[in-house]
Amino acid sequence: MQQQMSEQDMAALQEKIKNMSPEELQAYQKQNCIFCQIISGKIPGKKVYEDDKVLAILDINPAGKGHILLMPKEHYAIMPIVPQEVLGHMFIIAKKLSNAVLKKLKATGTTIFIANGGVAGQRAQHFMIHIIPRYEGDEIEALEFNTKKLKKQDIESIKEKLTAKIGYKPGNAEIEAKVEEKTESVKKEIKKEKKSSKKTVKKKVKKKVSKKSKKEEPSEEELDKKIEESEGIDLDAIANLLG
Amino acid sequence: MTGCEYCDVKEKIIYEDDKVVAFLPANAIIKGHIKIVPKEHYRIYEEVPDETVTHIFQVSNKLSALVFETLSVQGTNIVVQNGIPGQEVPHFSVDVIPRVESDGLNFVWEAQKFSEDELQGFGLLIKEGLEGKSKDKKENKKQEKKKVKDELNDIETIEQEEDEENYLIKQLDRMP
Repeated sequence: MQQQMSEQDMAALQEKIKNMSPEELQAYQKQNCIFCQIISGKIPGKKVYEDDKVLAILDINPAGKGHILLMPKEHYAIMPIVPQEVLGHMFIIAKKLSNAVLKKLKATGTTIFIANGGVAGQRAQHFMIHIIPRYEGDEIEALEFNTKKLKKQDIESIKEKLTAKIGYKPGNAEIEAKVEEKTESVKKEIKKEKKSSKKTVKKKVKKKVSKKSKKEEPSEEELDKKIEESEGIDLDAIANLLG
Repeated sequence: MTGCEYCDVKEKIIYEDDKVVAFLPANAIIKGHIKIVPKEHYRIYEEVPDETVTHIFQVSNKLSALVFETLSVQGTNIVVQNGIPGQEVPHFSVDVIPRVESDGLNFVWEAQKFSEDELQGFGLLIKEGLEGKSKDKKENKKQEKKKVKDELNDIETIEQEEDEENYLIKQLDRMP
């Protein structure tokens, strides 16, 4: 589908793009966006899901079988400019697609992947969510995360920067957490007590019931024995009386 | 859930609301790596209710944008490792990973090749998987309705039987 351009044309195009206003640039991007053309049907794509807001197709350069690209129908170059409501809808659909992949492609997991910006690996100028079916031992190394222990002061400085911007007050959370911890442990104790009291009650009831049941419901054999015994005793007694 | 690493998160929290918590994990992919988790304990993506899904990714998007501004990075990756083999803690989480040029990370996978027929097959199966769910739901609802009906019927017959018994007792009482 890609057309070859001469160097002269390239230079002219670059000059043109440089002089564009942001709106013009967006329109130009949209016009030249492969994914917008798939959405409008100008270029064929392997569609797996479509509604009024989003389209999902199979990736033609997949990391594995059933690799899905989910994109908004409107042209948004990067994630931060996608309206929140569209974003919310997209991730609900992504969940459904992930579920379908687990069920029907017998995947053992999925990796949901988004690249924001060229350094993060974003290739297309159209925001999209990758839904990548995963299998135990599939060895997609690029998607295996290697974590390392960070220095405490590094984490602390980043935390300060971010929380200052967000305006988050950790104090409240810590207090809340402590309260929760306390209530949790109290709950546990209450549960334990209840359980043990239940157990003792159960034991007592069992004892009573078993005693009762022995008295009231002797087995047939026992009954026979008793009858025999009683008959025996009675007969002896009677015999004794008779002298 | 007690004993769950993410349910018990109390340190290095950078954001929190009634549904989600965002924190800086001690073991990170890179400096500035943020984890966002729902407060409720859901094991995998499929278990997270739609409302929470919407919220957690909207928060993740905001935090991602914030990372651009605050940590002067050039990009971010937003990733969910769902199930085997990627997920390490059995509590659903979203990773926001700040990116700069030559940071040593590479999440670009090698493209695999599949035949046209294979792709068609994957597509059909996925579509089936999407449809199957709604059918299942309908089927479940039907079954539930049936169950409730049966239960109601049972209750009715029991009541009838009781009425009959009462009638017999009344009859007995009337006997001289």
